[in-house]
Amino acid sequence: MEPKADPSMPARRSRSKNQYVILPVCPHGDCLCRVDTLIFGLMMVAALSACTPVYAEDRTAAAAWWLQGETRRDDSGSVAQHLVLRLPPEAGDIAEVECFVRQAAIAAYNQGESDDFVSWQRLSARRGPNGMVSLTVEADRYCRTTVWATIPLPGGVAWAQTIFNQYGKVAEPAPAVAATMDPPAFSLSSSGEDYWPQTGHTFTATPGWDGAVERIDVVDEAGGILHRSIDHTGPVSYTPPHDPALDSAGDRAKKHFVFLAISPGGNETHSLSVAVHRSRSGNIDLPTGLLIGAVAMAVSLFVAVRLRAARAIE
Amino acid sequence: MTLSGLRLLVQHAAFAMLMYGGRFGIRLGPALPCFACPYVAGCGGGCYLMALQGPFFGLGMPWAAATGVWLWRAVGYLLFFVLLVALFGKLWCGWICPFGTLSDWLGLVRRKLRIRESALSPRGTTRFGWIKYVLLAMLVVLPPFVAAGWLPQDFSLAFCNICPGKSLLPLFAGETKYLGIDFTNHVTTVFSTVLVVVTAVVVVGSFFKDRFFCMVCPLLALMHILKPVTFSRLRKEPDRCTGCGTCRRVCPMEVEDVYTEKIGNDVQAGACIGCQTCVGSCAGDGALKTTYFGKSVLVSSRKRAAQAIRRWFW
Repeated sequence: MEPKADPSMPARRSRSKNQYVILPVCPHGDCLCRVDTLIFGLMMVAALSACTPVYAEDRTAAAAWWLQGETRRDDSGSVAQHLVLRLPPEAGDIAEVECFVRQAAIAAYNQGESDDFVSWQRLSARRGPNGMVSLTVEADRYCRTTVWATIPLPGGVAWAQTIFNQYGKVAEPAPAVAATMDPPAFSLSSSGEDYWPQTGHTFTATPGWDGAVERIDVVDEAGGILHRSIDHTGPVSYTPPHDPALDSAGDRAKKHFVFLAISPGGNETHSLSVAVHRSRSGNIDLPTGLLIGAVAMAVSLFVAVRLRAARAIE
Repeated sequence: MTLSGLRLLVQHAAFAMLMYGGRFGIRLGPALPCFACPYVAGCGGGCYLMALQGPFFGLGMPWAAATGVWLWRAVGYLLFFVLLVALFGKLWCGWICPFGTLSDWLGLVRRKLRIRESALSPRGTTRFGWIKYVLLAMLVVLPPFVAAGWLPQDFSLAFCNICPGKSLLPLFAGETKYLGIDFTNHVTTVFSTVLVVVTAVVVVGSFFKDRFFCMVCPLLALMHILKPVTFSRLRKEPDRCTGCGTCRRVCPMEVEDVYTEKIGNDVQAGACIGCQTCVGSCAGDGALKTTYFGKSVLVSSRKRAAQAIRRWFW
């Protein structure tokens, strides 16, 4: 005997003979209910994706990068740049990290490097009482300093590189040491003036080592992805946008972005961190200045002519 | 060669050297007693006012950093500045300063257009003259406040941010951005607007009045404070003075002291720019002379004055 069907509820014959399947309340009917579920599911995925501010950090690629801290001037005239190494969780409680430091003379007017000298040294970044792995690099003359750290990780290695200028003024600079090291290096070029890196300038990083690169991302200090490269075979360019918070913090304030090259499989990463200051010219509005200047000139001219006329009458 | 011709030659050679000398390896340092603007790319030297205010070797140095080599460098630059003032006195103003040369060009355009120069009353000249001491006080007082963190970093180099040399001199190196309004933040917006307005007023003023900006130049005030250590002097022999008043008429700064002084010998006023025009135009033989280490290097003569007057009119 067939069960008595409720006329208010839709029903359909199931594949089993003589059995009716009572469906949940669905005003659109059976087939549309499944479409509704599909559409609802897609909408949930889209909403969740939109709510996520950045991509989740890629957990297949453990990476490390440098953050530049304060600059200290020593009584002797040398300057010291403090660096902090941000390590991935896979690095564990590593106490010491091997570092390479290259210092090369800066050409006049900060136009890149000159041929005057190049020196190399091998240093160790150590974990301090605050739990952070840090390094202090000193310079006794004007130089462009490049620092690499190599961090052994389970199943791979992470390289971290950063570049900055130092302006030491020791009366008698120490003699240069010949080059003996060759760590894998990014080369970095900038579209703007080289006094210090600024927002609004376009920075181009070119991988300079043998070995495949799956992709190069640009990430912020916390690892959030700012830009993902599509063409990973050549140089990658990124233009850090102007930042109102940085603009208000004075010209000494800086923030970092990182070029992050990831090998196929993610077992080797190379990072190049760049500390940018606020733009020195990006917010300059020349037409407005010329307009104000023209008005001021017109007013001054009017006043001068009136004063001359008044004096002439006297 | 006439005195005015020699002065013209020296002015233009100094302009070329100070504006473009850096491109040819000429670097006279940041302690020059004239408006050789460091904002000009490739300049041959820098105005001492920037070093005086600056955070590296000046009053803007943080207290903690004012030790060792850095302190000695700041003292060294000050001593070098004093030495240059002692050696050449106000010749820096009348014969070497690039901004003064620019003012003279504007005056030349006015003369070619046969427009009469605007004259200021003695009271007006005195009132304007106080402005340079106010600006000098600003130069000295503000940088320590910035160094101590009581004022934002954007107040660093406050005078340079309103100096018309910053906006006008870089034009000769193809740089126009300092004529724009910097909207980075409120402080930079105000400073750049003031700079543009001041530039417009100075250009108009310099057209109608010879050496208009020199009336308010804080460097002139600083050099006059250092007058006791200078080796050059402007001396008058009152008994040889004919009282013709030519010295007062030809003086671009409308100094009256040379004319009115009847007893003393030292007649170099605070507003004097050392152009030597009064000595070159004085009709009294030996009435005016410029001395160097007590020895006369330039003495007024009736013959030379007559030649100068002839050239002036014809």
